[in-house]
Amino acid sequence: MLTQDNQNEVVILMAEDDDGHAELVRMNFIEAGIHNRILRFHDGQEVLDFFFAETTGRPAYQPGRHYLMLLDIRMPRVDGVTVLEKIKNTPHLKQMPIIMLTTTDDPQEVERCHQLGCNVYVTKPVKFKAFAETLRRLGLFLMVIQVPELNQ
Amino acid sequence: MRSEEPVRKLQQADAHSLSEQRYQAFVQNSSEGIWCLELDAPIDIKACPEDQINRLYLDAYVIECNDALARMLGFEHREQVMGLRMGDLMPRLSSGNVDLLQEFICSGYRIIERESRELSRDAQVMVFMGSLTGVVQDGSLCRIWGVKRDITKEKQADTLREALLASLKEKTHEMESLLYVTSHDLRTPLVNIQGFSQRVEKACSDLIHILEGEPGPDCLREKILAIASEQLPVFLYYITTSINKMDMLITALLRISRLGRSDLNPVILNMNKLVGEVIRVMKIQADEAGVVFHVAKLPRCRGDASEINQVFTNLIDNAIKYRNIEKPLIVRITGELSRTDAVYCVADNGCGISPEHQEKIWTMFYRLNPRSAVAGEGVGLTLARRIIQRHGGRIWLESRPGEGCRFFISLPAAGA
Repeated sequence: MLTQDNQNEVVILMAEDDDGHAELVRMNFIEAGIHNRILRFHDGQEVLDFFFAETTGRPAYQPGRHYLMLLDIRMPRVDGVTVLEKIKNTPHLKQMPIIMLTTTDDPQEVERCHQLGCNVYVTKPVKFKAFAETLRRLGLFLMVIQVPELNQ
Repeated sequence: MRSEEPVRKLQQADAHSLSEQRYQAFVQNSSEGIWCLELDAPIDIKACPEDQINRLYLDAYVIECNDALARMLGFEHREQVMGLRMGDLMPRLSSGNVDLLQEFICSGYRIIERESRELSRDAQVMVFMGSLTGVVQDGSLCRIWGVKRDITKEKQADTLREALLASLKEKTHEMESLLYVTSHDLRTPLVNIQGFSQRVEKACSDLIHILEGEPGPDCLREKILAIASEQLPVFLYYITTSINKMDMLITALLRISRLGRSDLNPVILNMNKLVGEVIRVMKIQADEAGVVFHVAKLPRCRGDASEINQVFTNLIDNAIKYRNIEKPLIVRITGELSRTDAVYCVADNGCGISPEHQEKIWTMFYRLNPRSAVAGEGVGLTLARRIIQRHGGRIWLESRPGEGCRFFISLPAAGA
C-alpha cells in the first residue's frame, strides 16, 4: 500500500529509447539526491499507452498523481514531438511539466517544442548538475503549487 | 525643292510593284518564319469549330512562305514548303495543336504569341511561338497569315532547367535528412561514450580514494570489488556497444552517399534471371526461415544489374526479417507492363506495416522495432528508394497490419 507521502511524490516518466542514456540519467539523479520513482518508456507509443490506452501491462496513469516527464525526440514508433503535442492538447494532462531531453540542438526543433508547450529543452550531453537542479525546481514547484491536483 | 525628288519618284513608280517589292524585302529578310495558308474552298465561319478544324486539315495548304520558315522546318528553300498541307506542319496528334486552332477560330481568327508543336521534316517535334491572322471575306475564312519563331531550344533548356531544379530539390532534401540523422542518430552513441567515460573516470578516482584512505580492511576489499566487478564492466559495455553502433552508422552513411557518385550502367535486364540469382544467394537464410517463393513470369526492364539486385535483395531480406512467426512465409514476386513501365511487386504474408509508419520506413535509420532481435542498420529501404529514383522509377508500399506487405517497383520497360 502506498503511503500518503508516496502519493504526493512526483513520479518521473522517462521516455528514452537508448538504454545507455536512460542509465546515465538514472545514475545522475541518484547522485543529485533525486530518488523519485522513475518509469521508463522505450518509445512514444508506450507513453501514449500509459496515458490513453485502456489496457496495458504497465502501471497505468493514475489521475491525481504528480508526474514530470523527460521526453526524447527521436524514438521508434511514435516520436517525442507527437507525444508532446498529444499531451499538451489533452486538458487534464497539459499541466504536467515536460522536459525535452534530446541530442539535437536544431533551432527549428527547439522552437517547435517550445511552441507546443514544453517547459524546458535540454540538449544531450547534459550538464547533469544543472539539469538535476532544473528538474528539482520543477518538481518542487509542482508539489508546492499543485492545488488542486491534476484532475481527470 | 530637292527634298521633293524622292517623293516624285515614288509617285512615278508603279504603286503595285512597289508594294510587292516592299513585301518581298520584309518577308525574305525576316528572321521570323512567315507563311500563308490558302484554302481550296473558303470555310463558312458560322460552321461549328470542329467542322472548321476538319476543313482546315483537309483544305489548307501553304501558298506563301519565306526561307526562314523553310529552315525552321528543316528544308533549304521556301519552294520545298510551298504546297504542304496543314497536317504536314501542325499534326493533329501532337498535343495542343487542335486546341490552338480551336482558340484561333473562337477568338475571331486572331491569335497572338501562342505556343504550338509541329513536326520538322525529319519528324522531330519542334516548339514554335507564333501569331495567326485569318482573312474573312463575305462570312468565309479564305486564308491565314502567320508568323512564328523556333523556341525549341529554349523549351529544351526549360525542361532541362526544371529537371535540374527537381534534382536539386531532391539533393537538398537528402542533405536535410542527412543533417537530421547526424544530429540525432550519430550523437546518440557519442553521448553514451562521453557519459560513461566520465563514469569510468569517476570510478577510477573512487578506487584511488578508497586505496588511499584507511578504512577497515573488509570494507575496503568489498568496495573495490563492487567498482571493478559491477560498475566498470557496465560502463565499458555501454562504451563498446556505442562505438560499434557509431561504426555501423558511419558505414551505412557512406554506403548511401557513395550510391550517388557511382555511374549507373543501365542494360536490359532479364528479371526472372536476376530475381533467381537473388533467391539463390539468400538460400541459407531463406531455408532457415522456411520461405516459399513464388516467382511469376516477369517483364524485362532497363536498369543497372547490381543496383536492382540490391533492391530485390533488400526487399526479400525485409520480408524474411519481419515475417509472422506464426505462419510459414510466402513471398510472391510478380510483374506486368504498364504503358512504358515495368511494374514489379514483392508481396509477403508477414506482419505488415500500419499506415502511420508507412512513410517513415523510407527514412534513414528508421526501424520498426529497434529492440527486437532483428538485426539491421535501418538503411535497406532508404537505399532501395535511392536506387529506384536514380533509375527514374518509383517504389511504393501497400500494406495492412497483419496482412503482409506489397512493395511495388516501377522501372522503365526494356522497350521504352
